[in-house]
Amino acid sequence: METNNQQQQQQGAQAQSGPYPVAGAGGSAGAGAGAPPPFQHLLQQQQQQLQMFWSYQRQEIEHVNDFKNHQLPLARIKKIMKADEDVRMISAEAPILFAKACELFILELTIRSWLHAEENKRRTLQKNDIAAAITRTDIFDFLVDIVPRDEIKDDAALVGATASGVPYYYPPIGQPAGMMIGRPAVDPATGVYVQPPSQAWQSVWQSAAEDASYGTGGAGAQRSLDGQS
Amino acid sequence: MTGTKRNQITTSPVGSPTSGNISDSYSSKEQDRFLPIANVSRIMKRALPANAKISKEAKETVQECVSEFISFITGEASDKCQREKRKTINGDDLLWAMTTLGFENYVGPLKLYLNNYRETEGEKSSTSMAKQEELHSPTHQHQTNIDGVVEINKLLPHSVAAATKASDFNNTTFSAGGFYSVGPHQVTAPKSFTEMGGLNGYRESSIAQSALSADQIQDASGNRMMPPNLRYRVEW
Repeated sequence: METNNQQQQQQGAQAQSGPYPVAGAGGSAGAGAGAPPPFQHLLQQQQQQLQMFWSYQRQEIEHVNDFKNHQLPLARIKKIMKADEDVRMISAEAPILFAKACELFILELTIRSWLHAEENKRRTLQKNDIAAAITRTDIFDFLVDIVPRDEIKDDAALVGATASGVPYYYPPIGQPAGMMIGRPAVDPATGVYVQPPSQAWQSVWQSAAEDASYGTGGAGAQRSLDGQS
Repeated sequence: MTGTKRNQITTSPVGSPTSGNISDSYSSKEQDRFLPIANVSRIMKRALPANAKISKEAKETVQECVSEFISFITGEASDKCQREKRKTINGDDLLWAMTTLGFENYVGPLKLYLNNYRETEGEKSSTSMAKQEELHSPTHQHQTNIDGVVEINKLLPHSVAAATKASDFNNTTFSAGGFYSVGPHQVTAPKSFTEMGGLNGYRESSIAQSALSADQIQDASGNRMMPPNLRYRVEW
């Protein structure tokens, strides 16, 4: 823990010193434009990540040969389908197709939710992150009833806080507070901000071996977090 | 440790309002309405950085969302089948429903997946009845090549199933030609009774279809023109 904290602080300091001249320009730009630049930037980031996700899914599915090992139990899927009284007969391929479809659905919903957690500088995915993803995505409108209105209100509060530039909650450490205040200025620097998340996604998705996966994933995640902090 | 505790304190205000909304334990029947939380959690982790964590409430919320997704797509596919007077929901119905409901991004990967599945499972022999049905499809195509129109008419229930699956498997001109060749004979008045019987057989359960199939084979046994084919089918 101490080592991680020190590394984060050091790399945070480096991040501060590096883009410091740009920070001033970014700050003035932020003051002038207000909300739109960060929002547009986040949209671009989200679209890029999702495009990478879909491209990767196509490549992965092309190599699928084993249809017996599913990530999700077929019997349970069939039972959920049968809960609708109008549904009479289901072909064998339907639950198998749904197993893959639900996998894609969970992955997309989780990625969009994580973007919201990142906006609020958290590493734990929470229910209000999922509520935010549902609110922001048109194809998830059918899920609005699942998320209580309290969660949506919390989300609105968080969005308001973010727009005003003041963090919703007081950060645990003093220096990160300074970093967080400086963060909006760094957002406009596209080159600095975008690359780390991309590397993180690639390392997580494309690593094959278990050991390599663990090491690469960790390295990617650390780089991502350091880049953002 | 200090950081961890503070994080917990920070998240507790968010957690406490929602704790009332979610019951701590699900009854067995309620759990059947959702996919297992371990499977859902494992898939979620694949979309996140290695050091990211997922709260239990987030996992449970995604569990509910997935069940809602299945019901949402299934409902649309079921409506389509009812409009077309079909009783069995197949993979293409689900893909159509996803397109209609805005999940176009899913259809590309899933089409690849479905085609891979049909090619792979179609070649394998299996004791599963459903997979045997899939095996019958290429067999019927083969029969079509050898026997021609008359045979298709006599085995109308299977030919209908074969036609349905053939349209799924192939879009070739030959298949289309095969369908056209059936048309003129279906119009013939003397055979209308046979066709009606076939349709009824198709709409009944698989057991009834088997019985009808056996009856048709017995009826056809009197026909001297095709003894070898009959033996082949009896073996099946």
